[in-house]
Amino acid sequence: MATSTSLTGKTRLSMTADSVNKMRIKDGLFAPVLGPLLQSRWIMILLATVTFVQIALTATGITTWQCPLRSTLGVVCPGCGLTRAVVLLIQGHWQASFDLHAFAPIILGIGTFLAIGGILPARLQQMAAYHVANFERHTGFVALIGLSFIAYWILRILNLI
Amino acid sequence: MLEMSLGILLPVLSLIGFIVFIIVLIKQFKHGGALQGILGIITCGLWTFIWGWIKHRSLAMTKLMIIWTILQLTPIVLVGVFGAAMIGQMYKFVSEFTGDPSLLLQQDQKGAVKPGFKKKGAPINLPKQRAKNAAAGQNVDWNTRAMALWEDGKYTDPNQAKGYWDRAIAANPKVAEAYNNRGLAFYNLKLYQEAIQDFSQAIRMEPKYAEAYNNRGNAYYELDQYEKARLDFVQSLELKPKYSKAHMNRGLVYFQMQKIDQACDDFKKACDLGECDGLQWSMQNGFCK
Repeated sequence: MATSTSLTGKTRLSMTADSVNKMRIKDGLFAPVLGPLLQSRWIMILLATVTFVQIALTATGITTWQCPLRSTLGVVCPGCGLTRAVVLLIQGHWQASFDLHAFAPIILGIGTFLAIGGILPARLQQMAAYHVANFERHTGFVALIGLSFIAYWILRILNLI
Repeated sequence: MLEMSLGILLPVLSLIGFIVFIIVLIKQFKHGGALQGILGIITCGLWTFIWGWIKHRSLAMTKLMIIWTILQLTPIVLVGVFGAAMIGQMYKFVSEFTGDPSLLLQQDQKGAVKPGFKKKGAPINLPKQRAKNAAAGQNVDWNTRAMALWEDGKYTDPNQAKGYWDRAIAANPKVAEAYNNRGLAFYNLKLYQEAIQDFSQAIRMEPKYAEAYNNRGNAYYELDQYEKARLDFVQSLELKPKYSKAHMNRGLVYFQMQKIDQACDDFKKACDLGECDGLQWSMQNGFCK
């Protein structure tokens, strides 16, 4: 009886730890990011301002944000060149933008979506936030983009694309 | 002395900034989750910075964020204040290590056979003394800033270089080299039509500008307009007969036009003048003897 309890206990403990780990990974990667951002209007305004300043200054050739990885180690990070690519995209230079960073259209799309979300009336904004968060929780949309970024970055630094 | 101090100070500040970034990034992974951390990395640390300020009270890292903000702003302020002197030093450094910086661009040819070497363009003809005199200071600053972006035969950041040349041209539109150099930035951005317009402007302003003819030839080459490219290389060589890069580029055009003998002649002349990439490649592939 005691052995049986012990075995059952061990098995249950092991299964629980495994499930917890799986849940943590799933929660970590499928955790909503855009939805919670949409909930807070002041964060949206802050993000929109930072993005606008970054894009406007980059378009005029002024360096603004220094990538810590690049400025210290000389290694480009996954996002290096993204603002410039977005600027080129806005200017209509599709090919040059794609060559510089293939994710520019996606980032511009997300940025536009968030900017629009930020100026929606409060009720619509909360509804949008709820639906976006749900979408993220079910699809892992942001995690997919993030991981694709990393994969793209690896291919870039290996000169494979 | 000032430049030397800045030369030491900036990397040290950059290193401290990097350490602070790593500390905040670790906190972001720990408290915000894996996805937040990944977002921090893929946005060059910008999202980590914003996230750090959003969470600075709850995670008791106000001091850390203030330090990071100061470290992030200091180089921008220093570059703004001492830009010309410091970037002048950078240019000197780049020039010392690269010598006569020449255009080394990846070929993306559409012919059946792709030469396995890189096409050479003209050196950037930095408008040193002439531009200094003409621009009375302001223009030189943007020139040197743009030049500091020139590495390994091409602009590391052609869009930014274009921005700098825009300003240099706005400050003084009478310097042919500025148009030539902006043309090179357009070339690096693969905006060949815009590059041709700038090279043409440089040629209009300075009809004996052999390098601009060579660069325009390269742009025509990229657009598969080989006859126009050939004419530009011919003109470039008439103005500067010992221009090795123009010989090599004309050889490439002849190769694309299936004029192998003439291509070989040009590759040999280029090699005699010190540019042997074309000859080596053509000999390896059995086109020239």
